[in-house]
Amino acid sequence: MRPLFVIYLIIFFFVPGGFCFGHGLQHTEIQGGVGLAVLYDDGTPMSYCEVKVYSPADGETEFQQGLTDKNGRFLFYADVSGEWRITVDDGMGHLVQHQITVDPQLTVVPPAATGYSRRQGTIIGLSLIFGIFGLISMFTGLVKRK
Amino acid sequence: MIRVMFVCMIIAVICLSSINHVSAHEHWLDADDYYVAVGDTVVLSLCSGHEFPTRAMVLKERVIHITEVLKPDGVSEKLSLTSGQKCWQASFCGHKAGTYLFRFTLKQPQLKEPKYQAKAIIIVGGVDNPERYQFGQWLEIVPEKKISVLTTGDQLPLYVLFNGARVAARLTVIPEQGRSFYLTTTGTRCASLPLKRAGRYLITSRYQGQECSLIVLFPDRGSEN
Repeated sequence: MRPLFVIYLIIFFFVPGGFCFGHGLQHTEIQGGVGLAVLYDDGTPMSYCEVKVYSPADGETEFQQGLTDKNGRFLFYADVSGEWRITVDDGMGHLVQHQITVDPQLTVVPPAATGYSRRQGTIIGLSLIFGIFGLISMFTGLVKRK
Repeated sequence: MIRVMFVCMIIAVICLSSINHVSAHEHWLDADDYYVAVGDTVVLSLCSGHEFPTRAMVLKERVIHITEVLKPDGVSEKLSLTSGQKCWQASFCGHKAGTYLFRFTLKQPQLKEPKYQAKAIIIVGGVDNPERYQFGQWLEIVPEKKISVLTTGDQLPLYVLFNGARVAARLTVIPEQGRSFYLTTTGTRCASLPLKRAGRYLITSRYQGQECSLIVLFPDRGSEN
């Protein structure tokens, strides 16, 4: 009598449980990724702005879309190597377009040092202006001496 | 040699002054008329662009936070928008004489505070009340004098409020015609806007990550006579 009761119990508790786990889910924590942090001119993060990511394999349909976080950051996981295009749009007229190169190991290729900050640009611009006019004045001075 | 150096410096100053903030992205609330009769319908436009008054783009619907009018009796009413060409539009009819204060704010839905507040003041039936020029919320530019009585050559005192308290801020003034310029206001002293010519003036300011704008229109009163 007792073993039969135990068998009933096993069937009662485990069989429905088995069905429930039939659609079970798995999750694994992942690290790394490819990402971008976007700030306004004044250093304020572009928080909760629309992001679209385009894979090198398909430049028209978004590979992923979402929002930047509170700190203006967005991460995604590249599945092929090549140039990934990311757009960040705050809906108020500010749009950032950026390309990230991913190598065959699916790691980000660091971008070459490009561009200058606004301050650096101003200083360079001023230096160029003074340099050009300095050369002109030197040249005209030499011509006058002759 | 000194003359050449002087010329160099002048050119450098001109080049630097050409890098102005007026080319920054601004938003503004514009009306087809700012001084109307009772019962007249006003069409308001929510505009965005780099060069006022040229409208460059339509704001995304998801960032339009508040669009409302504060009526002379202190009651606010939501404005319903329609998508127009290069801007959102709303129409309003003032059935009572008084000062009507309009605004729209821009905000990412997840943020608590708006990033931008644009205002317009419309005088209906000639009743102009400077006490009705402010919402007392977020960042806003407030004229201290009646705008309806000003004429060319006058000065318009302006101050900046942040949640109802006066703050020190820089104002950018972009006239409809002519060059833009800057004004500064302190917590106690108003900025003084010289009205050199008739037309619309877009005034903008920025404080603690928020931005705001106000349009004031000075009609050519000389041509009315």
